[in-house]
Amino acid sequence: MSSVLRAVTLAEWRRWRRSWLRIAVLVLYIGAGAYAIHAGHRDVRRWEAAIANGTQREVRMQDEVRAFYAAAKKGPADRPWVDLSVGLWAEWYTGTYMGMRAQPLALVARGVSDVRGHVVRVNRFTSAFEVGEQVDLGNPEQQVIGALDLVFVLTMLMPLVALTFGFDILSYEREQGIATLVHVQSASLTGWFLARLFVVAVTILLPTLGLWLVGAGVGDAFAQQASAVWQGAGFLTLLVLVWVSLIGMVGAWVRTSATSALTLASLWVAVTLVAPALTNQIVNTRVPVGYASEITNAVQTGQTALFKRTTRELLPAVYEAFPQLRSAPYARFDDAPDSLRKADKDFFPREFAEHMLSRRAMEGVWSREFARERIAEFAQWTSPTMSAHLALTRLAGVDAQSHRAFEQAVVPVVRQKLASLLDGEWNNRKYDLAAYEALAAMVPADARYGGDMATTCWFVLLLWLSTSFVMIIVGLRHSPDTFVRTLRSALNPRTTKVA
Amino acid sequence: MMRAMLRHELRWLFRNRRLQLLGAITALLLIASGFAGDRAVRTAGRERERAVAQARADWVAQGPVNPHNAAHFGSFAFKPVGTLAILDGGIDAFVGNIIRLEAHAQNDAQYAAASQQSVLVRLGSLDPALVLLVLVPLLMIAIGYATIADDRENGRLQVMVVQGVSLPAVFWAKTIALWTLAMCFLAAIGIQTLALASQAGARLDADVLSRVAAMAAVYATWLLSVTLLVTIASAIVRDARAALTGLLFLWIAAAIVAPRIAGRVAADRHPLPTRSAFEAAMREDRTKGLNGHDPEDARVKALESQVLKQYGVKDKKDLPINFDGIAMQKDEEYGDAVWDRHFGALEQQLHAQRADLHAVALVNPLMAVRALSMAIAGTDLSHARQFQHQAETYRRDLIQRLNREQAYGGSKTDDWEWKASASFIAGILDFVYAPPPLSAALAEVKTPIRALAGWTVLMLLAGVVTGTRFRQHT
Amino acid sequence: MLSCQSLTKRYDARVVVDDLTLSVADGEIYGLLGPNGAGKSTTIQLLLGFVAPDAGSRSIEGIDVGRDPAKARKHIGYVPETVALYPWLTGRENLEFFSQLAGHSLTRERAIELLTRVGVTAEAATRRVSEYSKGMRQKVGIAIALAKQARVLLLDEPSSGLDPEAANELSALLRDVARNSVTVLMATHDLFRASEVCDRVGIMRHGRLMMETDVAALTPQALDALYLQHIRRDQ
Repeated sequence: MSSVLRAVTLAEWRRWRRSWLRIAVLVLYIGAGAYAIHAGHRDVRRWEAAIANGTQREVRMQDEVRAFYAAAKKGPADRPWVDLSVGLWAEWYTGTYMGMRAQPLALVARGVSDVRGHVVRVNRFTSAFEVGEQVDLGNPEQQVIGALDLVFVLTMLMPLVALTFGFDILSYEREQGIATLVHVQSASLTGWFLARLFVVAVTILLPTLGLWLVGAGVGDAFAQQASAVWQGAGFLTLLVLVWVSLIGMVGAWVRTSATSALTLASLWVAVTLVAPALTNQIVNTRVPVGYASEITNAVQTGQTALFKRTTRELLPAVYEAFPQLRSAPYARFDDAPDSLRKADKDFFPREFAEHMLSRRAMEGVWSREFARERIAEFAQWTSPTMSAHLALTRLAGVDAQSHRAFEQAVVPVVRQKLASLLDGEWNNRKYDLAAYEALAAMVPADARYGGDMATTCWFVLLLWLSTSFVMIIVGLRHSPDTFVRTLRSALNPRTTKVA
Repeated sequence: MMRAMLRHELRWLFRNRRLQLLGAITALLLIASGFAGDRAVRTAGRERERAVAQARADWVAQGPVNPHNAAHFGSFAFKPVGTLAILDGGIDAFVGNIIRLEAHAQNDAQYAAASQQSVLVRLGSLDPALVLLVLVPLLMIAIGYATIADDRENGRLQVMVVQGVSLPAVFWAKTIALWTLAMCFLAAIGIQTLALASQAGARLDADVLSRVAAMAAVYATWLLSVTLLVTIASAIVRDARAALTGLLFLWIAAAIVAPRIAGRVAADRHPLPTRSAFEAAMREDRTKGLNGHDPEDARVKALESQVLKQYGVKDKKDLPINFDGIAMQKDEEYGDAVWDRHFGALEQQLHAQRADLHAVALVNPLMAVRALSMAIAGTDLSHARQFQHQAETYRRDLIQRLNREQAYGGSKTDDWEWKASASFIAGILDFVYAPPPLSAALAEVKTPIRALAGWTVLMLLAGVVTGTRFRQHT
Repeated sequence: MLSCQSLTKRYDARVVVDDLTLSVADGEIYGLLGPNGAGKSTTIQLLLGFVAPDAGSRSIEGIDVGRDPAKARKHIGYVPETVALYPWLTGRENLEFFSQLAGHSLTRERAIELLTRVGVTAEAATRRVSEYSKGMRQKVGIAIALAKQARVLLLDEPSSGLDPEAANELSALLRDVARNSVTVLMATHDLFRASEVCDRVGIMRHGRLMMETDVAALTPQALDALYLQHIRRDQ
């Protein structure tokens, strides 16, 4: 076997270095990957800049307010109505932002990071909707074209590169009549065939892993996300093997290189373009996004609550939605102090009600998102490309699940703030510096989300690999003619005899 | 002789097993995508009607209400989904179809479908445009790459020539036959679209019909260019295998790689500001004055003096009208000017990026077709911006009416308990979107039109030249 | 040596090789004659182990081909009618590649020596095979078989398409090879070459071995007459 491998390696090397097409394809592949890393790095810097802007504003505002407290001032001189000793204004001037930091591997994929928000100003009015309103500015005509990111290069272009190097394995030999000589010379045609595939696999794997590791290095992922880096490397190795195996499967069965090229091109189109597009269409049909009625209704309901309803009117709906609140002190309106019952102090209970109702609506939105993802996760069994996309974007923390985790993290923070403010109103608290700092500290530091990988993706690739490998072995043992004859006799045993 | 050749070619095509299999799959995908698109459009239409009715009900249910409270209560503009979105969903998944209309804020379209889906949204959706743009050309490559090369390699071409068939006749018969095949797909989806649209009760008015005709013309031209390219490659490349390899690479480059590279390069050449930088710049202009020396309170004080002088009183409380309404309207107009300036700059960058993408269409006709298809279907950036502009115009009118009612409707300054009547509120009509006519849509895509026309002429000329000169033997 | 015992092969209802029994000793050149469709190529395919017989057995150097075809092929050098090589490799590189597949690594010098022995010059050996004539490819094919140090050489229509000079060179080469105790079986319908180079011939028709004879005792004309007599038997 080793002599076969050496022979094949040397012959392939000689072939490829004389093939300008293959050299060009490899160079373009590496070039596209390098550019994608560079572009992804810029995208992440832009992402981080947005968060840094928020942090800077937060720091500026809080420093200003600390100075007011230190000087025993009520607030800015040009705004005499501001009183920082009152909860309403103390909270407003915390100026807190909550950010979703990019994972170190975020530069490898755009995912949905350009259509979902990363940073949101958190105050008592904030709803989870508002994260969605903080989407970065973008050009939808570019977004619909698709992103040139490293995941695209490694999952969609890599198979095409592999095809270029391996599409005519065995089919060329059969076509040109070399197969017989190869079979006579080598101890086993299967051994020769697998050696060819092995050489192609190594040729594709090296630049693929190289690009991945360079990307990880540029993003400083080795220090901060090492396990994800090696998971990704392992996953990509498996993906390369899947595609090389598929190339081998086709080569083992078809007779001519033209048919092989067309079959592989069709296979690539089917799993890379059609399957995901069809999945998205199915998702849109079964769980349509529509006109975000849950959100718009909730916004208007919230607005109505804020301006039209009294707390007494709102509380039954809130209790119905959240029965546990019946025992919460700040929601028991009837026991509230007189100061809270006055119309102009009705603010916090109404805002609390608005918050709870909007959260309910957002949970409806999230559950529908989750339903869409479930369909996609089920559909990934039909396409290694889809599975790879889901896996790698999750590792990079740019998938929908990661962003949803961030949006969901905003909600309890707002609730905690509201609860504290209501409690403060209830107890007539005066806000000093310590109370202000406590309020500001309720918003946690910016965090990262995602960065792991579901095990399903591994099983998908293993299934594809094992199936195609079995088909290779079966295909090599039976010539295409025998297979067709066997199939015909199986379909119509009366008219066809098999030798 | 040409007719005989054409009949022969068509017969061969439709008996071709590869065509039968691949064609059946492609046709299935095309029809299924048409049905899916139709269902999506109908569902969106029903949802929109419900959303519009709900928004209207919420608005009217305010009853007697302080106009400024109503301005904050606001409403929504819901973008309708055009009939031809059945064929080409365009950018709709990435652009929201709802704009919140409220005082003091100019909002973007929000809640885009892509923001509520998995990452697979990046891999596109199966609509007829994708099939016609990407899959049917691949089918034509698969069927036609050997159309002349095979005859040459097998010696049949020489026999035909000896029989008296001219080379141009061979070339054009094969080209027309292949194009006829492609037209079958186009006709199928065209008939399906019209049938589904009329079944859904859509108004098949002159605009819709002309858009359908324009779409058919664009795709027919595109498929003609592809057909010519395939036949030319088969005629001039040394063997069938090389023709296939070359065509597949061209297809991959044009359909998959080049658009993404072009998009990225355009974004790099004309970068958009981050949202935070954009909003910070707007905030700065609003609070510090457009020219940096006209801060907000000074503007309010100047306005107050002017109004007091106009009415001949010394104190706001003595005014017969509500100064708050006037001040809020001035503030609103100021904010509008700030927004116009910054949003205008943003739009210029978007247009520059678009111009770059359209320029790339000069070398990649697929991008020209994509741009034209979205423009005709009403699902491109121009239409999205049109909707935004119309919604913003409506918003400004709405807020102005409310502010004027606050100012001149009978209340006095500082009287925040005053309410406008329920009939006044109900009398404010909903936003109605008027989509631009086809001519306006096409005016935005002149470069892609030129690119597609140019490529078609080039391919025809190349076909004429090739048809007289290609090799008869290996 | 090689031998076949009652070898039979059918494709659908058609008998392609019918109860074939023959053996070829070491150092012997055996010509398998017959018209197109006689079953000569199928016989070679059976001996190579690429096709399974419906009845009978065959062996190469005492190894049952049916039981262990891979082991049997280790002793076989095969030169098909059209020697197909990788066009982007030179003659030398093709030789090195196919030899290495068989587990015989060749040095550059040894490869050149082999090619020279079969009539491919050192200069030609460095040119790509896409520039070779049919005769040159044939020679590289033989060099591949020689490099393998095969004990049995199977040739399928080796002189087909060769000019007279190349065909003469081939005949001389085969005689040279057989002198090293290599068993040579050559399927051909070129009676002249067969009479020139073979020790024995067998005539096949419709899959049957009609007769075998020593060639030494026959003139070319006599061989012609014998061939025609057996080919036209039913006519």
